[in-house]
Amino acid sequence: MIEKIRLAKSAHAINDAIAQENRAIFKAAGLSVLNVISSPGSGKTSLMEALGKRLGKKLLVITGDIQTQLDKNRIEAAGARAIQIETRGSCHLTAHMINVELKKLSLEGVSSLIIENVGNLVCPSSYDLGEDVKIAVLSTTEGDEKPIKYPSLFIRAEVVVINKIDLLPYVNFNVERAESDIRKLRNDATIIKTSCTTGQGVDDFFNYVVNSGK
Amino acid sequence: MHEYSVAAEIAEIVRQTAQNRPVKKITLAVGILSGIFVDSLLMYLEIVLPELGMEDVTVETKEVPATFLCVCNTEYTANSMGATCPACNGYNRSIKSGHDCTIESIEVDDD
Repeated sequence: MIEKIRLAKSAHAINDAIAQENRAIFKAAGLSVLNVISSPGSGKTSLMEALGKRLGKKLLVITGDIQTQLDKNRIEAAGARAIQIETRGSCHLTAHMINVELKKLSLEGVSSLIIENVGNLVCPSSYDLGEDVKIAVLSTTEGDEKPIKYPSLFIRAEVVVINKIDLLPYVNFNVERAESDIRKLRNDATIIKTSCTTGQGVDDFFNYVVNSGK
Repeated sequence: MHEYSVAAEIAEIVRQTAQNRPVKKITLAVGILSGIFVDSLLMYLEIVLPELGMEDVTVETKEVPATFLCVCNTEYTANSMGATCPACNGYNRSIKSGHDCTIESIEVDDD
């Protein structure tokens, strides 16, 4: 006999359950956790370096890449703690990957924990890692139409950093259009404009990070 | 792009739910804002379901439209992110549904 079982369960239910476990670990450590998502090369690691110079070992970055320890090395050289996850091909971090690392490390002395996701504008937006806030980074060299072309990230990101803002005179990027499209997707998004080269706006990003969850 | 991962997650949930009973049908509700390309998801399910011992499974998918709640208090349904509020023509809204990919039900053979 055929039995119909009603599930009404998210396809991500297993991931989401582990994400809730991560969330409990973060909460117990008093941390507000940020999940930074962008396309490759937008400047996520440069932003982490800027934070590392200000926060030192109080900043812990869990950074994901397909392969190499390059980002971990850069972030540590800037003064912060860093853990590298090499996904060996997977295009996004999962709650389980974060959970494995959390079980190995001590969060003592950490005041800011940031997860730097694998560079990809699509897949990482679908996976809850247990973070409090998703931050999208969009750089001016990518083009102003990226938010409207990749809505799945920009409807979920509470914060959008527009990076490489110093390059505006040299690239075809209409800030007003980008901001207008970001607002269409998420009207309450906080937009921060930065340049890791000139330092413009980096204090605004730093202030957001250190005050997150307070 | 991440349909393979989603297919693997779905197959694992279905396997756990079925508890060794043969699975005949899976019904999925895919939100239009979920970022999932249905044809691609179905292709990967054809690969991952047999890997977990589930052969000849019919997979039915339903498209779930996006539902928005506008600041003017109008709730409206649309098939794209670009649709403005029919009452005030604004974009100032929150998303109520259409984000998720949900396993609605499965059918198993109890014999």
